Amino acid sequence: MVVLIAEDEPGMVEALDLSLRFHWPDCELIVAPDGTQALELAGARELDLILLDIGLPGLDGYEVLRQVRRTSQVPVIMVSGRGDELDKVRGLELGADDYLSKPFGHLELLARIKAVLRRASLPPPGVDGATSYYDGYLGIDFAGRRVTVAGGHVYLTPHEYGLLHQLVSSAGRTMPHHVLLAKVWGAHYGTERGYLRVYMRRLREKIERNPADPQYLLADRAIGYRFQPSPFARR
Amino acid sequence: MDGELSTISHDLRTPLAALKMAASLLAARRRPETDADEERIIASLQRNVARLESIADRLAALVERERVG
Repeated sequence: MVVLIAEDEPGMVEALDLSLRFHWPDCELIVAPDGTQALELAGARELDLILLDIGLPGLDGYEVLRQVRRTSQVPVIMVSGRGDELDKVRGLELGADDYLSKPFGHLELLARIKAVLRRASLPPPGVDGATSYYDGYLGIDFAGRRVTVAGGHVYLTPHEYGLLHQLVSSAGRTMPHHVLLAKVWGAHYGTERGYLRVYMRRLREKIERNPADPQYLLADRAIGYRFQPSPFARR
Repeated sequence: MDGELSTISHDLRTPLAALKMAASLLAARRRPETDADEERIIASLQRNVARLESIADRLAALVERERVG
């Protein structure tokens, strides 16, 4: 497990370090003492969790979270000395997964981290990440790599299927362009947004009822694409 | 003055959080060979952390009352 601790107080970093290593001796801890470094590290590393203090020097925790959420769904627990409700609501609305008010003991920290990681590992609503997706119109059998639309089989090229698979696996969440490119085309890809435009158009033509008004494959301008599961999806 | 008190009240919570985590970790790491004196030290630490926390909470409530007027 790789955890980014964004905290400027060395005493607090040490206590978090001791607590995390006590429970997860093999976890890798990365420390950012200010908001700018936190943002850089969040963009540079594949993280499992961010413990983000609100009162960071430079960019504060809220701003770091806002920018992180443009491209990443990494679990984030906000940590703050401010315990009032509005601060918590603001953090949660910006996309934090949980909020810890100082002071807290290591058992509360552990329980919150476990809960957040458990939620992060659940398949998204309406999608059975392991085997299939079906909503009465669109069906995807992941094991058989088979896609059906209104009961009929639809042929997808490997890249089209790969793209759909990635998006459905993260249903409801925007996947950044560079992440999609790297996962579907390979690690050396990341800037070829034209590929994505072409393949998304083809995919929409194959699975959407009206490709000009897509309901499943949605673009979040300048960020990436997401799969929006139907409210009738069966798990 | 109010602003300064508010800052102190807020700043107090970070070292207190570090202390509380350290004290709870010590308690969790108790071993069968932990002797009575060590037990008393851990209990004293935890008791006084709880006391400090209560004082910090009272200070935060006072600051909030002053802020609201």
